Amino acid sequence: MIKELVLGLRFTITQMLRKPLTVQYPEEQKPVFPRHRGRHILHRYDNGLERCIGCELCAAACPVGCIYVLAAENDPKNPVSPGERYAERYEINLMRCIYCGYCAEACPTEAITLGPQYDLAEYRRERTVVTKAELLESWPRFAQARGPASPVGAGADSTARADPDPGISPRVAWDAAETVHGAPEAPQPGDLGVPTHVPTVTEPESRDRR
Amino acid sequence: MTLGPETRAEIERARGRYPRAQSAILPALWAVQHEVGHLTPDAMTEVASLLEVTPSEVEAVSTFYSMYFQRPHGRHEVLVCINVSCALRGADGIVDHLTRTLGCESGSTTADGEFTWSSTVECLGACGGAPAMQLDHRFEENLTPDRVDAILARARNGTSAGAKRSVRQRRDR
Amino acid sequence: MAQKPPTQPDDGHVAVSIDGHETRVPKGTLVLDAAAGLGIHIPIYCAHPKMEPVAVCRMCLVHIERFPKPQPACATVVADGMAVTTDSAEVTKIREGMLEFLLLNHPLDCPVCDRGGECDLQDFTFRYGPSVSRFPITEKVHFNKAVPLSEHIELDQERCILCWRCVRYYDEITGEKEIVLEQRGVQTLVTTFNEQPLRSSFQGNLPEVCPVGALTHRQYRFVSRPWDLQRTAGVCPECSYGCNLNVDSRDFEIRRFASRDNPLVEDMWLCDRGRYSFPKWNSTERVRRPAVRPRAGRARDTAVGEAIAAAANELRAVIDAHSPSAIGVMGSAESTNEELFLLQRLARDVIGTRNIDHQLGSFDGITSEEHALGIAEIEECDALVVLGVEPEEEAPVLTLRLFKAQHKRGRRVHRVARDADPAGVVKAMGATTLTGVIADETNREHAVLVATALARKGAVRRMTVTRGVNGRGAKDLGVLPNVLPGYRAAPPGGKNGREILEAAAAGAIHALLITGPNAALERAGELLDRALQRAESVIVVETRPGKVASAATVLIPGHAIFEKLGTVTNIEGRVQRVRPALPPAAQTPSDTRVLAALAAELGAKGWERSDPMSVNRALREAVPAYAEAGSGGRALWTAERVA
Repeated sequence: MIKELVLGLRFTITQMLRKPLTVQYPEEQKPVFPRHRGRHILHRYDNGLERCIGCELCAAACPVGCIYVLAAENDPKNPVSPGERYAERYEINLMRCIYCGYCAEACPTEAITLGPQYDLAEYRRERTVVTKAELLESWPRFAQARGPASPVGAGADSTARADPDPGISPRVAWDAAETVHGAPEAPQPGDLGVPTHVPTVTEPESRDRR
Repeated sequence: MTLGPETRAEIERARGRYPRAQSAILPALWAVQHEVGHLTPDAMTEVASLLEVTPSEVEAVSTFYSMYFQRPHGRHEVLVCINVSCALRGADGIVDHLTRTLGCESGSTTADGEFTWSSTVECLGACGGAPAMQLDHRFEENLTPDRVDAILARARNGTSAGAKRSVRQRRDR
Repeated sequence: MAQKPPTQPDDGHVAVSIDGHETRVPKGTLVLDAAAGLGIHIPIYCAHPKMEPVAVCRMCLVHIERFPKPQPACATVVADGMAVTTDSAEVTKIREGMLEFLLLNHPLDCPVCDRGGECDLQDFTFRYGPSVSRFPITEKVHFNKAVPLSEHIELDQERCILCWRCVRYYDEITGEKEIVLEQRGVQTLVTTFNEQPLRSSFQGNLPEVCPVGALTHRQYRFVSRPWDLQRTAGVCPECSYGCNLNVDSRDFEIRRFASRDNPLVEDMWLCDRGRYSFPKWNSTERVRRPAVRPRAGRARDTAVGEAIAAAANELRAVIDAHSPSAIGVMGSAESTNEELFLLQRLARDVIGTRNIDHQLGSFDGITSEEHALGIAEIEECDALVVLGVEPEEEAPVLTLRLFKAQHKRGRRVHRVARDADPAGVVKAMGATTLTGVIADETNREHAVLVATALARKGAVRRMTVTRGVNGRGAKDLGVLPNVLPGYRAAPPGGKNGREILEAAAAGAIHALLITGPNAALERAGELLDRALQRAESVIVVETRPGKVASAATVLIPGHAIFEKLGTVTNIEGRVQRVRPALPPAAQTPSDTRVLAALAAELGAKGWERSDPMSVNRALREAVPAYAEAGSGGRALWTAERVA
């Protein structure tokens, strides 16, 4: 009987003496594999110029449309990136991103890669839209700013683009009325006073941005 | 700046020779270059108004042909052939020598304004006397550095036909 | 060997075979167009549908049987029995070679090029080009980048493939010849005389003519990529010529206007005034909230329903205290047909006033005749008389149509003074069977004199250049004191715009109902100030803050032309749709529904269906010419229709 008891407890005791496998996340984080696809990083050249030229090919390649780029022209005396064009705004909606890496694949200057960071939870939805300042590699000459995300672009919900006349899909209604004789009446619009433009959390009050 | 009455009359004459005004641009520009020495934007505007074409058409013609000068030129023009026959007979040495003696690169004018020279011309058709160069519309053949020095010295002293004179001679013929 | 096609009766057509597909096309058709008709794509750079062929780019070379060498499809006219091959190994090799050659010195900076995504060089290289080049990228000949040609146009000399399109555009379309090719060989570059800035008023077409990214809009520089843009078909709101255009917007802002070829109207050429007018539609200077600001009492922002009720109360008070004719109604040449139609019904049927107009001048004796000449018909007239400079200043694209009539069709264009002596015009005219007379709407009376004088020589058709995008629609739909919709005579006694303002300033008119924006009204200046101050109630549906909006006792935000659905009528009566390209700046119902709700508040019945589409249907029932015009057709007025 003793033998069985010892045999039974041997496994227990050996496990008790082993170092724990548990990682004290988030205080402690396990290293990731070198090609882990975590949060994106925007890189710089060795001289500090941004690699990103604002060409938007990443946004074009993105299967979920989570990247927003707004380009601008470089001041030749004080360029942000080599050449004529740079990204004035670069935003990624991390809630939408599927971390597929197509953006890195599409980038002609190897400006964007997917990095090791994977702890991306936030308390506020807006914070999950990361700006260029957050994505850029740090550089001694520039302080790292953490500005608010753009109200339009990656953070905005494209379905919130207002239908100017609720109840009517303009093109469908017009075409139906024109091409089909005796077509049924077009959809009846909503009553007066119904707001035509329903703002979402991230949508601005107005269109004034620049 | 206005063109002289002689030049204007010559442009008018050229205008009468062709059914289309555009055709008269070439002789008109020759007349201008003869008077002014090179083609200034003002002169081209004036040619355009005389021929009733746009200044841009005149400029297009003037830049197409390499013998119309857009910038002031030296008193003499030296063109060194670097094509096969001349190259085989030592044109490179002549080019080097000219660069040294004239003190300026091919395509530019000497500081004293005497010579504008170029070594980017293709075959001058003087292969029999290679290496050859053309000084103010006249061939100088079988060049050696010493002969080049002598020719340049002669030109400097004014014993060679000037560029403008030779243009006029050709036209009068 | 191609079989000799069976002989057919000569019907002006020839049989041609392209890649083995037989087709019959009219004589004189280019191989390029015959192939396009069969759905066979031939890449082109120098060829342009609106210009004469030059065949300089050599991209469209095809093999034609019995020709010793490949022929340019853009300049070869089909012949009977011609057998063309566009898919042989020979043609493929030619295309690869041409593209490799064109890319020899091309900087390949597609990622930063504004044309990237809609560039013919990019597309054809992708489709027909070699995947690699034998020439090292480090040994390219470089030219200047980003050379400003004017305040609108930027030139990148490296990207140019020397197709001559811009040069020919200036030569054949505008006749200004500002751009030329200078130098020769590898040094050839597109430039202007002495690097002077471009002065043309039609420069904005250059980037669209350019097949690559050499000529670009400075205002569109790095603004967007083509795939980001939301494209909405629209109509240029700058004048009443009605140029078709595409409204390209991104992030709820219009980023550019692009041409949308309508050969009957603008023939794909836009003027700079129209093309570069888009920033003002992104303006945030807008009326945003409905407000009620009674003359005695406290001004406050309200809900739109409350504002409409307040407006109805004020109108009813004036009708009760005085009479319906103490109300003046001002429409706007910048509203849609639907709004104007509702507005005049509201004024005449519901309020009961005859004082309605859309601008200040008098339109006594207006007939549909002054709009008989169509834009495309300009080319058919033997001779054209343009009275004064106003028609071409007001509608700049008219100049290009006149140039085309004159230089491509050999018509005579007489530009005479605004008040030219009619007898003198007739004398200068010579023999003519059909004469077009083009005048500005402020010069109507004199145009009548000239047209009457010319009528002795032959048929005369008149074109009147109206002011405001829908100035023509306002006249067709009777937003005038003297005519009802369709130019039927209105009962007399109505006041025109100036008279309405004068009466309001004198205290005879007590309430004004104004829909804006109305540029003509704002030109009244001091008279407008006095009228707005004196009137007891000023009910305004307006988009822009300004004199009128700030004087309103009831203010309701309107929708700007790119925020709403509707139709507008151009100078020749062409009824064209406008569609929303932007979300409305104000969260209010569309203008037609505001007007209908106002009518309903005033007790009118049958105004429930008030979305722009239903109004359009009612409009077509009331005005048969508009029913026949449909969308994109011309509203034509015959004598019996007017009567």
